[in-house]
Amino acid sequence: MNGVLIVEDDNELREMLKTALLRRKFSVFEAINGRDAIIHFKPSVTDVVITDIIMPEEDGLKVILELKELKPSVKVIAISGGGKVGPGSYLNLAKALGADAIFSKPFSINELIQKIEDLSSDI
Amino acid sequence: MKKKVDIFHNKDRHGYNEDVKVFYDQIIDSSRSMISIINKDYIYERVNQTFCNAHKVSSDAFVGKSLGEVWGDNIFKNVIKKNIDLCFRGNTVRYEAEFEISPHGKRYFDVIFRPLPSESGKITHVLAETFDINDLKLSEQKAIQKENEYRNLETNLPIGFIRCDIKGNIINANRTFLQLMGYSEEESAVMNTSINVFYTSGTTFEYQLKNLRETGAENFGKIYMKNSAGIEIPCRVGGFLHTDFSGDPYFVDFSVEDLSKELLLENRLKQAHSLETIGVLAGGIAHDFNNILATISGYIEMISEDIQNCPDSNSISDKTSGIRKAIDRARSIIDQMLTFSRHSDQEKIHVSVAETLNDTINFIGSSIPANINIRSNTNVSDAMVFADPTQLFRVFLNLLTNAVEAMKEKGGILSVSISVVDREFLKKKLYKEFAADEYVEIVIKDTGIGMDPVVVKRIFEPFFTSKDAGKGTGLGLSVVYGIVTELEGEIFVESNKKSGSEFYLYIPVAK
Repeated sequence: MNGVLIVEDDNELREMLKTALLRRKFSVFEAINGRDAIIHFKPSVTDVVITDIIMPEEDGLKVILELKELKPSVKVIAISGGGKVGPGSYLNLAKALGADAIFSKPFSINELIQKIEDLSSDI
Repeated sequence: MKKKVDIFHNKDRHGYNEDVKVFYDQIIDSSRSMISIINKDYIYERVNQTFCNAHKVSSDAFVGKSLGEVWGDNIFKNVIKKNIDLCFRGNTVRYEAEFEISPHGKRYFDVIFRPLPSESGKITHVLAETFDINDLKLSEQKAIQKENEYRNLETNLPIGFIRCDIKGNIINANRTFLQLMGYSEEESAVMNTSINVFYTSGTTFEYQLKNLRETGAENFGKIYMKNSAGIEIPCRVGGFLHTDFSGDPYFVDFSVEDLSKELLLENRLKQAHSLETIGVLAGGIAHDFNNILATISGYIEMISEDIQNCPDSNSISDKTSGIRKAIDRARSIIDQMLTFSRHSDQEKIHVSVAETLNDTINFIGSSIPANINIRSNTNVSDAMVFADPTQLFRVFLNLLTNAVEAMKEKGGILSVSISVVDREFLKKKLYKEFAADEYVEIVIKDTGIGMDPVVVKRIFEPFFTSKDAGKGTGLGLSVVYGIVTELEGEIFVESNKKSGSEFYLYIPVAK
């Protein structure tokens, strides 16, 4: 059973992601921002982290670095509301900092879940 | 017949009144002028006290000396002699000259030579009256210099100046005013014309004069003035009322300053500012909306999966598919709003403007009607910019599509050109400072239906469209604006219903 941590400040969006993941039998942990994520991170049972890039309190880029420090093998998926995906953008910066995949909203749930499964099997 | 009292020649002539002589001597000595008697040999026979005081010596120093000895041979030969000779011939001569008086240096004098006839009637002596006008002369010179300084200022200042009489008729106009109003520099073209001829409706000289009688000087603010071609020019007009010694109005001076550039700049600043405000709003809304869309889209996906095994799955899936289409539409609008407000991610690389433009022309190639001619000089340009190629393509696509759309009924010419311009060129064209040294200029011109000034003003506003309902979101040009602004470039449009539209884009050259 793969553990996924969702870091997202929008309550409804986070709830939807949780529903989608539970349907596919993932165990789900939640955090409302970066600081919350670091506090509640359970390295032993979390394989994948989905984090929004731009959030209040502690921005998502920093979260990527800190979580990787706590568990180098954790996979991080960065999501952003900003539009285009490509090098030179926020999302590409995320990748440079250690994000393993990037998605921009609104993304396909199935594609996201597929990516989670791909990344988990790498561990 | 009255005997001439020849009191100077013979001091002790018998039979005349000694008191009268003393009395006359006193009058002559107290005169403010230097008075002297000069004989035919140009020698001083008598000088008054004032003459002596001016030279700070006694009369002995002069009596018996010649004009040349006292004033200098050169001065005598070049200035004095001709005048005094004229006097000896019977004329009263008056002239001004500069003489050197040793204690005081060079000073200006007003000289009058009067012929003094003897008893026989022959002119034997000249009475010279010399008055110091040095201070007067200097004041005069200063006044002329000041007048010249003023004239220079008035002629060369880049502000129009006119002077009107109290009826409002122009009696003076400077070069700048004449140029501004479209007259060649002939002042006569506007002389005696009433200033009301230049005023457009609402403003009259009479009204302004009424105000000026109270205030003396006033800034009348922005007034539209009609030039020689009938075109209205926005001007800042100031008035100043001159009164004569009794306090009655005498003339009115007006300053007329061309405000066209200022207004243009002001309008563009206002437009940029309002677009900026809209951008901030749009960016904020867009972010939240993206989250909402993501939530809805996620649930729709889950529902689609859930219903696959239902008996009514087909009819339900039509509906979910309809929801997905709506989500895609919303996504497209949000995306454009984000681009307009410069919140979208950009992949910037060195891009060839000509290549991208040519790609765009080829892309729409097949959909261009036959009655539209394309002219482009893009092949000669190797100009590069630092931009996201997809975004640049989007800009060109939008502008070219609009151009074609504007000409679809009657056909026309679509011209596309690329060149490189420098900061100075742009400063002259757009009246503002630019940051980079060089810019790529892209001009997209059509000969289509053009736009009203009212439309042109709002053309970059998101959701503003001149098309009919349902035909276009009105986001296209706002996206173009957002992309160009994000590239630290500039875009502006000139358009009218007669000749069509011209879009000018300026993007910094890639370093």
